[in-house]
Amino acid sequence: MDNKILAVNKLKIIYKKRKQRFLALDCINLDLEKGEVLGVVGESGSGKSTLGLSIMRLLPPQARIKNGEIFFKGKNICQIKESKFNKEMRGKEITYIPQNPQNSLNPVFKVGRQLKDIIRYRAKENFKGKDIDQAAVEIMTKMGIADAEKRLDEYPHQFSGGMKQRVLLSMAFVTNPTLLIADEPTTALDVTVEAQILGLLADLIKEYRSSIIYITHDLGVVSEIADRVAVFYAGRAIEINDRYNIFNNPKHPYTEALIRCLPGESQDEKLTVIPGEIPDLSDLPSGCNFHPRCKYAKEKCKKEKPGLFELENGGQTACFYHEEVGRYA
Amino acid sequence: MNIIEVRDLKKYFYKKSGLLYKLFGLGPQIIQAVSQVSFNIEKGNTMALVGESGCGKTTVARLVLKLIEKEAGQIYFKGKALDEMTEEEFRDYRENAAFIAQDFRSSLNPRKLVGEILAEPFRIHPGVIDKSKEEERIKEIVNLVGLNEEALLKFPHEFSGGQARRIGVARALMLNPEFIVCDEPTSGLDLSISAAIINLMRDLKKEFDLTYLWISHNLNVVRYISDFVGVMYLGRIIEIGETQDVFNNPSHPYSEALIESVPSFSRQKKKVQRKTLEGEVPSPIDPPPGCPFHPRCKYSQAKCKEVIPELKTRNSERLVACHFPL
Repeated sequence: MDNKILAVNKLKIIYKKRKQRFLALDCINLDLEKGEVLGVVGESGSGKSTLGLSIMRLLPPQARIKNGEIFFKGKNICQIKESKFNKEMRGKEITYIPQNPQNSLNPVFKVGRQLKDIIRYRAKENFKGKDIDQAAVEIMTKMGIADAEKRLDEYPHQFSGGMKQRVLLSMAFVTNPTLLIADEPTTALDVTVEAQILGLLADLIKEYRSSIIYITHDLGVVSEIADRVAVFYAGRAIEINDRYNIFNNPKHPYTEALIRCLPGESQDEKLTVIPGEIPDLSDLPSGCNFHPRCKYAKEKCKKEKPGLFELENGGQTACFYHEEVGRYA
Repeated sequence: MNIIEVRDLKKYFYKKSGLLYKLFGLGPQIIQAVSQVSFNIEKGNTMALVGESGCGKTTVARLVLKLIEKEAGQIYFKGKALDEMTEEEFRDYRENAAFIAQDFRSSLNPRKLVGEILAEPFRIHPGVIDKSKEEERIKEIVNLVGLNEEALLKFPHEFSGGQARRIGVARALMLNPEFIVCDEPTSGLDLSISAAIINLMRDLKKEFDLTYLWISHNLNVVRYISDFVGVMYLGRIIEIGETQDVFNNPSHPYSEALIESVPSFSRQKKKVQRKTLEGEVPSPIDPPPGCPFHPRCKYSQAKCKEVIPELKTRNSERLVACHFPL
């Protein structure tokens, strides 16, 4: 029995802007099993949101899929007709929680109407014989919105940031999705609210058994929620491994450095800084994208692009000298 | 020696009343942004204020620099109240107290070259540095914060977020201040860049013997950089003390919950699920009676609903505003 929900094969995406070409994603290979939470971490511009959008088929018009395939439950979603994809998958089998809850609800319609629309057009069969109003109240209550009946009759501006995110979670889970893409869902929230939402999400994962791609820049959040972690750098997934190994035994110099950038409990040590800046996606360095900033870099790194190396502990890393990583720790 | 001393600071904002309010003869709504805030910062220390958005930490920062007028209370700079200063003394205060703004993009004038932006402090405070030495000083500081001298001939939009931050830091250092208010200096930056800025701020502090008031909602950063920390909730400081002490052993239920909520970087094999605080921050227009935190507090008792707890000494270095401290 194939448990694979999603398989991304050699995905390459290019953005065109004023005759410049930006390599947003290059050679991405990922797969996701049922009920698995994949954390995608990386700094801004590393291509993590582009990945989410490409699976939703919501890439902006200037983006082109140059190469590669995305298989969802064995079907190549790049080749499905848009009308069919929209009717059967987007917002139904594959749902999305955007980064900014403030801009994601329509300000001129009541929250109830927006949620009920989704139930009506995307999740009818889940609520056979049930009243749509009742279904909406049920899901909102489940997401921890008190007094749901009354709140359905309110407008988005009457909701706080955390509550809006709960509404968006209702919309994402009401269809009982196979795959949920969460793009920095807690970045705009305060820590105590963030903790509430993460707790809620953890409960929902258990209940719905949905697979989740959790995109974030926060290593702390990933270390709490993900089963497996993919680290992105300048459009490439440079290391993929389960959570324990990625954080305890990183095998890519970038992952190692990123973990050391975190302020720890001790005030005495200086924070590690990765020298230089993220490369320009329209003018990437030769060889390995990370070599100009890498302390392990050798001649080979400047000339050849590393492929993904299989690691003994089940992960993959895109570094020629991964065996040396951690030696200077 | 206390560089800054703040006593019972209070700030209200008035929400403009709409037509309905006027028709019914109701006055403007009062937002209690800051109430009863007191703290002092000794020379060479970093004092951090933490709290969720809307708790009044940025308002405190602006009040301390007198960028906005306070409602009541007193602010002392080296023992002298800002209200009692002569114009000249106040100029001296402004020279010595610099500000690094939260929004690093909009705090740099997009129509000016970085060199012009950095020379501006000299225009406003002539005579601090000899005119002939201005250029030298600018170059020195620019190098110090890790930028090239070429940066002086560029416009702010040509810089990345981390570099723009460095320009903000350079501007703050121009007049050789003793005290810098840093309002969320690392928010919106990527992890590795944020680490670089934190290291820079630490080095500068050592080199120039600076004193910081550090405003942040990022508890990991605060724990790393500050000597003392004040936790704010709904305009009040609810706990204040030595950073490591407060983090290891919070006395106020809110501090405990806040520290608990931070997604801690875990290397455990098993997923951890944290206890979370229920509810959200109430509106400062209509704060709950008694302790502002009582509706969310799991330890709250009858007294908490009626009496506002005062900030009391708990032990040597710690002040807590709770009737039943942990």
